[in-house]
Amino acid sequence: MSLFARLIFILVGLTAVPVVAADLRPEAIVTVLPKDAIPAILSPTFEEGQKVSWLGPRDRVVGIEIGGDSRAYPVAILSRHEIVNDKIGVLPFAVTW
Amino acid sequence: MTSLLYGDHQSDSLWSHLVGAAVTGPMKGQKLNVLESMLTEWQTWKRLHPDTKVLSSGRGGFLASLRDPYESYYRSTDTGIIPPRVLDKRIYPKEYVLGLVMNDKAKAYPFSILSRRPVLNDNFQGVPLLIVFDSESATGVIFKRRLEGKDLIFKKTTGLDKTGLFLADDATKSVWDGLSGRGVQGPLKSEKLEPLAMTPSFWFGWVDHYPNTELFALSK
Repeated sequence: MSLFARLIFILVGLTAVPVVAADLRPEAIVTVLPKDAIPAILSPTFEEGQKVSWLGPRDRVVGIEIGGDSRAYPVAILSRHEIVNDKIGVLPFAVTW
Repeated sequence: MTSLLYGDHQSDSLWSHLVGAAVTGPMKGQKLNVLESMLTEWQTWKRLHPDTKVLSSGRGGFLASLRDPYESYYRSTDTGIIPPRVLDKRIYPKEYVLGLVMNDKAKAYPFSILSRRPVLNDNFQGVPLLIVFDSESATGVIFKRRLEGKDLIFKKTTGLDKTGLFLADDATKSVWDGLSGRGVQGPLKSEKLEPLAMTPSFWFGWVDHYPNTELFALSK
């Protein structure tokens, strides 16, 4: 079952900013899959980019760099997990797809 | 409204994917900060970040070797599971845009314009912006084009090599790498423009969540 999910977002931390985008009506929520049917990655592991042979040159990735630490998240993996819960230093963040 | 919601394991609140805010549960009304990121090709990312790590697929690349299950969705005219409330057809609903939010105001830059005008000097919410688009890898990035209090104007230039996209600023004629925003030659070599967090999205999703969004258009 494919949920609409073609939007890339990297999120971090919680702040008390009010919602300002279009109103998000709870009554409009439709459940199409049970909780955790799409398993988020909770403990990601990484490989050295120079040694990775399974990614093609034109394969798409979401890339981030935080404090000199660069990480690539292949879309082929994101499409199956949709969320990667990750951390660099003291900064927790989620890569969502 | 057609968009994926996520739940957090701690409070069971539901979060809007595109906006990054909780819409139900104990966390309702809370909003997450968006971090700067780039959606690009592996070869482009590796060129910009030679020492990058890669999320492991865990099984010798097994997951990455499979077809992306959404491939047909990308090519289709489908707009999610539920029809959007706001369907703005100024551009094709499934067109990609770079979405930017500043001071709670939204603006979208369509890939169809960026592919023709890969270097845009724009202003939004009083901030001078540089939008750079590499058509070869369909990669868009946004920077502040203000450096030490001075607003620079950029244009495309011939590069130092054939693999990158290079810019020159009007004030010093320094050469910049377009996707990383780094000065690579001239007086501003080693300077770096500040990248801004943005969201590549389908237009229909962006405008449904930000119905008052501006849509960048070339002036007639």
